Amino acid sequence: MPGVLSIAESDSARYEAAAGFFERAVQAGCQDTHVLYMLAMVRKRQGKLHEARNVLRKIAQPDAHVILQMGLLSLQENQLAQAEEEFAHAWQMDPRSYEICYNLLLTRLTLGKIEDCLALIPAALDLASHRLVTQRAGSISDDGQPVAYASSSYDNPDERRFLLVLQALLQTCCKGTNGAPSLAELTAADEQRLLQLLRHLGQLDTVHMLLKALARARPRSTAIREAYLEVVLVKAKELIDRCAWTDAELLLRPLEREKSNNRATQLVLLNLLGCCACMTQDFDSAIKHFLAAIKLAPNDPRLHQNLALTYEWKGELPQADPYWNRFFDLLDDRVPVPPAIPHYLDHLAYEGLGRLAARYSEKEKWAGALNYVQRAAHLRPNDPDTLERLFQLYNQAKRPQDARRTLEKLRQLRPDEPQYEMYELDLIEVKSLNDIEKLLTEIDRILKHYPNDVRVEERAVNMVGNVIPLMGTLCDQLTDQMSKVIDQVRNLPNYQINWSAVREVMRDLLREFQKLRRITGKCLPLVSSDEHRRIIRDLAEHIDKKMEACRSMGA
Amino acid sequence: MGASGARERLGNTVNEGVPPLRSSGEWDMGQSAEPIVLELATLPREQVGPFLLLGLDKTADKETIDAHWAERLKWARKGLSKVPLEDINWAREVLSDIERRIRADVASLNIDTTDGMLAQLAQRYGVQEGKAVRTWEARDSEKTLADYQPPAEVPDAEAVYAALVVPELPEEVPAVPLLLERLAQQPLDPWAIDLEG
Repeated sequence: MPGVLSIAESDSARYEAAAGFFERAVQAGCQDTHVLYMLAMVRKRQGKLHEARNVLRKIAQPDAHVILQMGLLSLQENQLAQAEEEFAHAWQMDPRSYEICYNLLLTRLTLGKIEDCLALIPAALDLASHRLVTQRAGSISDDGQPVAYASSSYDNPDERRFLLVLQALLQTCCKGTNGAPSLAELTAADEQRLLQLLRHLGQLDTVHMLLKALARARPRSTAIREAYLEVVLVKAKELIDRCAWTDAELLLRPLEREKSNNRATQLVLLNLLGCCACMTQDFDSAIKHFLAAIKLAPNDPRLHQNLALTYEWKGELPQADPYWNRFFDLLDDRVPVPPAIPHYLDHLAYEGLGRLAARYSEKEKWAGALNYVQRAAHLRPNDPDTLERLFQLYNQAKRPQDARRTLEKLRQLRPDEPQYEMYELDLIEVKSLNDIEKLLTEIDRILKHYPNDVRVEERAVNMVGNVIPLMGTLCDQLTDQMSKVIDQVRNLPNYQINWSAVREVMRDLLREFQKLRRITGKCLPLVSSDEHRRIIRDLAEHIDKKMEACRSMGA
Repeated sequence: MGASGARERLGNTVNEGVPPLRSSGEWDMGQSAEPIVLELATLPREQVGPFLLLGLDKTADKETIDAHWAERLKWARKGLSKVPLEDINWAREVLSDIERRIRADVASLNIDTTDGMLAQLAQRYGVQEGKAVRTWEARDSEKTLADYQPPAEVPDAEAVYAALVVPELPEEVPAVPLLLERLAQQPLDPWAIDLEG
């Protein structure tokens, strides 16, 4: 390796020195065609394509060699149409050059111009048969690397045969017939070389078309069938990259029935089919494909994630659970991660657990949500946000002991956090008027202790808002009791009424109403919304009336 | 807003060739076996996810994200993609923020498998940075010019030397002839001569 590097360095230095001499000659006014040509070649070898082209353009009367070089530069810049134009021009100037003919042929093939290629192949065949070897050792390939003549495919004695094979393929492709005889007689080496060429064409549409024709012509060739499957997958990926899910699915579906021997490509096919189905909202098909893929690769976390997401989108959260769990289990060093984000997989697992907890919470399935938040808290045991969520969920799941323990931990982590005093109030089970009174007294105390703390105020407003309906319910219960007594008094003859008992009941009810009235008085300054204020005032008025009624009944 | 590419759905009988409805309202019972494409409600972009919207693997680095974003902007402006511009910008925004990116990773499908098989296949077919490029080796033949000598007039050194007029030497500095002789014997460097000056 160091040897190769030193050769590259010495080449680079030689090119730089040579370019320096040529540049100075040109600056001094030299317009010699060969000097300009040599300068362009040096620039090409240095990879300075733009400069090389500019120098070639300075040649006043360019010959076929110059135009060939321009075509090669265009090829390197992936300007295929321009390269074709230049090779065609060079070919007109020198129809005896095999190199020009070959480059033109392959450029046209890359562009998918099958008819034009077919027209050119006879000339190429003729040149391949009669051409004289002119390339010398040390000449360079189009990517600027020196090539040894003896090892170059250029001197391959099978060149003519290869052209004949290519011709047969193109004819098959044009006519759409089921295989020309020469294609059926391909050797393994022919097939390999053809596949090699097709894989390097770089135009997926053309490669797809040619491989399709080849696969039809040679249905028993495993290599060709695999190559065809591969190009379809790559083309589908190209469509998916443009969010053309339906087109990709249409392309892939016919392959679904053909079982490939290659597990890896079969896996990619099933996964792509699943993704396309998912994106076109055909979740049942997506699940089918992902399940089949998981069968082939049970330890691929990405497949488990895909399946879990599909179940979720289908609204079947419990079915997604085992695949999410497997996904989290499989997150290890084998999973590729983006650069420059340390501990990516830990973050991914944490966010995933948090997300699932949120999903379960949305559906008010507290046990499920609690399970995921507990796992998230296990990953980040000292993260206050996670512990707060855990506390809330313990509360929702009616597990006050666990909630209290979590709150203790939170207090240790953030000893001066005023909100946690409010959390303490969440642990009070509110059932009776005494509970409500105690709660409101505590809220009032905390608010006075932390004046101007927006979060405390907000939480206090929420808690008071939750208490108001309970006050209404208790008031209704007292009113019902009172109505029953009044009904009995009205419907019974006077001699049957036990007035002392009635007065006793009314006194009890009055005491309760008075307590409730006191609570409404405490509640009013703690609410912020007009609606809540209105409800409390109405309730207070109602209670006043009932208290009056109690008194009129002898309380 | 979501990727409009995700708005279509195939009928489940693509290969069974359900006859399409003609504009006149009659069923076409001919040979055509075009599948019926139904318009479904758009998938929200959060469900498609920023990775699929930008055609990225989940391991993409910042440079790749920016390159894909720029390319998709061009596509959207040229009408080559149905994804709205605002979704393309949203996707880049999400991926630029580490926390949002991780959350998006959890909630997005994976186009490739964990071993990156699809990426390897794409590379095998010359796909680089989302674009397929030619990789076949072109035939090069350069002119052989190693021994080429440009047709420039080179003066005869002897004649030039003979034509030089030696100035009269001052007697008070006897070292001058020696110095001049040495100077004349030094090799000439034509590239050191400032022609313009």
